[in-house]
Amino acid sequence: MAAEHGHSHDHSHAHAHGHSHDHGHGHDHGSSEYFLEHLLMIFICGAFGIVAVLMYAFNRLNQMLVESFHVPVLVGGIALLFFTAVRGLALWQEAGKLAAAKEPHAHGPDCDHSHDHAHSHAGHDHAGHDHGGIFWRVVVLAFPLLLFLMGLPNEGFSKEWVERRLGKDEALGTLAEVQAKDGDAVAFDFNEIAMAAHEPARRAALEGRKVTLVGQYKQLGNREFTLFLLKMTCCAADQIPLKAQIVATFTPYAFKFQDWVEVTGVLQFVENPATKQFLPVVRVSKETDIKPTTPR
Amino acid sequence: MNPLHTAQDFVLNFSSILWEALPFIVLGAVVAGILEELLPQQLITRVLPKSALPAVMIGGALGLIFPMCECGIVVVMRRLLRKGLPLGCCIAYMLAGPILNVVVLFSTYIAFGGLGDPNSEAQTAALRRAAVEMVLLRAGFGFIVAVVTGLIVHRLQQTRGTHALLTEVAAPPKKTALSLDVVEAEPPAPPKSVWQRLQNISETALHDFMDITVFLIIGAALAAAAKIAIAPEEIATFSREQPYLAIPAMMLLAVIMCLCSEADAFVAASFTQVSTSSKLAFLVLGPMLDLKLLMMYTRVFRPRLIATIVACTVTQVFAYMMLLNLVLERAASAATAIPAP
Repeated sequence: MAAEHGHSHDHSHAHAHGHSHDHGHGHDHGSSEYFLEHLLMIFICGAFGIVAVLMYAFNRLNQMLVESFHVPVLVGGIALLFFTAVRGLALWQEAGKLAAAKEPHAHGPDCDHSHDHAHSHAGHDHAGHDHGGIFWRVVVLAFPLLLFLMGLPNEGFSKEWVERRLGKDEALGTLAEVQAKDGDAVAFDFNEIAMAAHEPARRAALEGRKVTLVGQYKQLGNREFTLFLLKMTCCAADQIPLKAQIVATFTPYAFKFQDWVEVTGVLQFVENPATKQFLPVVRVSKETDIKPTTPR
Repeated sequence: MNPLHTAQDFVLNFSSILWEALPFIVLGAVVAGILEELLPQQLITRVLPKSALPAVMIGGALGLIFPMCECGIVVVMRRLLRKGLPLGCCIAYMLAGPILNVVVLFSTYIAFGGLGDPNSEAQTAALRRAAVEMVLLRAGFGFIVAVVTGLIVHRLQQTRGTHALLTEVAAPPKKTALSLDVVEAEPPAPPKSVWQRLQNISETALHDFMDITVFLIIGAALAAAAKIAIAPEEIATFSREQPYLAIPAMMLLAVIMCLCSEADAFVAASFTQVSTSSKLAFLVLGPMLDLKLLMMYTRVFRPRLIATIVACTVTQVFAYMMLLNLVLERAASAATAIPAP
């Protein structure tokens, strides 16, 4: 069993029957250290598996990941638990064999054990990994587990973070109204409108349509506010803000920052002379077209 | 800024990066365990062409039949190295694999409007054409950058030797005259039981999981800290205001954001005012190089090789994207110069 460790050495030890032989195993540590390291590995990997399963079971992933990623985390956790159980059982068997080998007994012609010492790993050349520095690694690995035990993360991004991501929007003031098109209000998502804002043909197609948008509230002026949505594609770290500006012909009720609001009005696109960007704007003429709604 | 709020944002950023990557690290570790146990040593070497260029090109395209994301691929690549896959091939696979795979290419297609506009057939056709162009450009540049880097690493390996570039846990086993004799003299190993194989796979998988997750955690913490310091919108605004610096700014953003290659296209598409070449710089460099990957590379590569990979990928992405920018600008000005009939 020639394990390829940089720190390999052979060691000999005497057996009760009076012979000695080499175990070409490459560990610079005794069996107790070997077992300790492997127990730590089983403990950490098992803990990651348990935390992954618990996070799924208690909906702790909601703030971190989109729903489609919840099942992969669960499957990853179960896989870790499975391999941890297999490794645990194998280690237990190795420990049993080692204990049996250490017991003094007389060897005779009927004694058919083959001195398969614990370090043989069932015929497995476990080259390609080392056991050094496992203790500092355990400290690093314990960090996310500790966060879970502390119940973190327990809320979304802070108000400062969201405001910074939204940037500075300015009130538009008086707008040149576009001709409203016929038809009922259509529910649009921010993505569609944000994409359309940058393409002339799509702007022309959508301008004047009555739309309904749902998003979070950020006040700009007496008659204006920004409606925004923090869109998560996979995880919270990839969130991007999508925005539309709402201009009312009256002074609407002032909601709190990040309250969820549903707005229905006429869509138009207004060019910002400084950035040359087109901003989606929804013009609202009835108080009942701005109403609080449930978080999405 | 309130320190408590900063800590809250750090924890959310850190946790989301870590737990998103976790299933892919587990998958990579299990695949690594299976490769270690079942793939015969040097089999890949016998199958691959002997010449460097076709071998590295095969490595670059391997992601199409063996898809892995950038987190899982580091673990798998380490085992492939130990099984004798040439270093240049491994580098090409590691760099191109997270771009040249079906899931990532499809998500790029969707992010750049591949689903079309339900209100307009003409718009749908234009959007789909633009989405296909983006997919082809991303895949093409990703492949070229990976293959060129793979060839440079192959050359470096010839001059410096494998063990000067790889850490002990990644380098293929050293062979001595004595060990070869022993191997030749040894009778074939007895067949292993399923339980023995499962034990070995589980040991390798858990070791690799622990090994790489440590560096993933450090990388995720660095990325979360960087995201607190720099908001993506600030870089996007800077890119708009300083168009000549847009490409390096978007490359920096890719390194900081540590996005999964399946999600990054949606983020790139959201930077609507940034040029196509800048978005491509973000999409090509991101899956090859970010803070968490840099930390994970330290477990496999020695500093000289990491520096080579960083220098090659950054220089190439920058040069190709500047060139593309020039071509696209000329094409746009030529189109506007043609008088309307």
